[in-house]
Amino acid sequence: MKIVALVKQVPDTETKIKLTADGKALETAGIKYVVNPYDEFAIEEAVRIKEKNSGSTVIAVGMGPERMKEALRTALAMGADEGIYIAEENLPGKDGLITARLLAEAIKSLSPDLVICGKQAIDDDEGRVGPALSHYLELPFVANVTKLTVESGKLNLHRELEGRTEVMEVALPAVVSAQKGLNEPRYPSLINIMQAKKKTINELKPEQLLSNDELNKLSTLEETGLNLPPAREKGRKLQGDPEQMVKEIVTFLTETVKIS
Amino acid sequence: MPLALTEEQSIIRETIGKFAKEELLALAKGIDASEQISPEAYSLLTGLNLYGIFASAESGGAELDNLSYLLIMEEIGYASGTLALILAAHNSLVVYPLMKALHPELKSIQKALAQGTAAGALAHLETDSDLLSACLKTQAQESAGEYLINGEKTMVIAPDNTGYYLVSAQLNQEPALFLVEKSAPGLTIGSPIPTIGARGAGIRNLEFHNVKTPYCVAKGSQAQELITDSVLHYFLALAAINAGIIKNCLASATAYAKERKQFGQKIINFPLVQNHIIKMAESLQVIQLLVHQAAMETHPGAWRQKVAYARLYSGSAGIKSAISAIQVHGGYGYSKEYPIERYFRDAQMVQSMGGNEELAKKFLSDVLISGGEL
Repeated sequence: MKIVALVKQVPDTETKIKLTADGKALETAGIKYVVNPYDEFAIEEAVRIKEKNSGSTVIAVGMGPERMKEALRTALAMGADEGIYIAEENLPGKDGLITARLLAEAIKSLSPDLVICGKQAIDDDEGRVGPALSHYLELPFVANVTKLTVESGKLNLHRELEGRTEVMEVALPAVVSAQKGLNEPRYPSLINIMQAKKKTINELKPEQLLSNDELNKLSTLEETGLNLPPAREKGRKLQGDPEQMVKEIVTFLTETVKIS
Repeated sequence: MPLALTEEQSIIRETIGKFAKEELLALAKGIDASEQISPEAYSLLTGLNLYGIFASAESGGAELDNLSYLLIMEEIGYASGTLALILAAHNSLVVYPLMKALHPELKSIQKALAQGTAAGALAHLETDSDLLSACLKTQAQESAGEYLINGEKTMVIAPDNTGYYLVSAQLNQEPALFLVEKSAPGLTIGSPIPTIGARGAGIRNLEFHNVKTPYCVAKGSQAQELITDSVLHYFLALAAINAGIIKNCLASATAYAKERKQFGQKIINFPLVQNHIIKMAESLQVIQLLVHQAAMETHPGAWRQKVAYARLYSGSAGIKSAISAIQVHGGYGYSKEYPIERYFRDAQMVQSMGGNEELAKKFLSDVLISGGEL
């Protein structure tokens, strides 16, 4: 089997988010970047399928700035065989559709049996790339998978929903997105980290995949600004007669918070 | 992190850091309380090749560079002083000198050590000597292609999985190093000595009564140099471990100070609490710089001095930072409810198990007295 695992690099969850002075971007100084946790499930699952099906290969594919290659290298250390890096440069805008389309162009020529991605990236939480990619590849898509088994030309899948599990079957090739619970991602060993150094990461530029005209057509979103959530207002403490306090709370809820 | 890292170093630090926080930190309290390291804990460490960090690929090691090794020690030190100490002792004091010894007959043993199927322990310290000196009372005699060893060793870091001892002894009035199997007849392995920190590391005394071994690893000045270099290599690892312990003290104290309210406000707002926290952060930054500076030094003489500085500074800075973290926690810092007391006990490990501070001072003084530059 040929399996593609999508990788994105995101700020570590412990990072304190700050904005640049012009308020248009995240302040990147001092940010520690990690592999998107949902993508770790995707890489791990791809590697497990490979280990169970001899002769399989796993290709890690990712797009982003130069530092993104470190995330691909981590995927290689976890067991992916090769990487494809698409440089995030000379693009008409920042848009998940552009990312999905470029990824699709790079993946199409590989003719994979299965594409696994994380259900979303934990930085922008858009969750658009997976479904959009399946659209551009013209392949079926199953989201939020928590269990996956490969069976002669098809996949058996579990999706956890509230209070129940949806069991599905999908023909290969297909695109699926990984949800927490799918597996326990491994820690790459030191030897595997060193061996990953010898594996290849092929670099592609957007213009090698799509013409500028086509890219421009895709750019529908413009990011106009970023705002931090408002600081929490100071709480008020009531004191005195309980009956009076209850009245005050009710007045506050109906008139200030406007609960009807 | 003071210095720029390569892609691999950065992935290694990231991976081991995550592994230490997610897996080892949860085990650390139990190891400390029970003074036991479980077989599962050992297999977690071997699974990531932590017993062969810089051993050759041929012997099953990862062949990492010095800085990577020290980054790993810092990350593991963050989670568990005991686990960091046993890994530093195994890698620096046994795998490292054996690699340099290049003894063809030792290949299978080197493999077992690098893969962690058996750990190694250096039996060098005696009651009448220090870690860097070679005035040994333990004696070795050559007889029919084998060596007979007689003597006593103290404070050997030998956890339960130790399979081999690297033993220093006098052979024809010169220092020499021998490799001895744990099951060798005549070798008495003492019970672990209860210690303040690094509990579970299996620190013990050994007695040799006509212990036979065919393996002489090095003799004469080569043996002396191997011992000195390995011990300094280990000192540097201990400095990195203390950076990890301080990092945890800093993180715990900062988190606590941001939560804990007293006199109507969070204690992080008090300048005297901030002073404790800034001092810890400063120590961490300085140790990292000293450790990295030594790791990058290639000239042997300069390397030894830089290691001595890192050892000297990190020992007292570690214990001071742990005391600061206790102070920030107020009375709770003195209780066993919080893990700070363990960091405090483990920080002393570097002062006590890494040669004493005076040894590093003496080393630097000797350089100065002999007309060298400090």
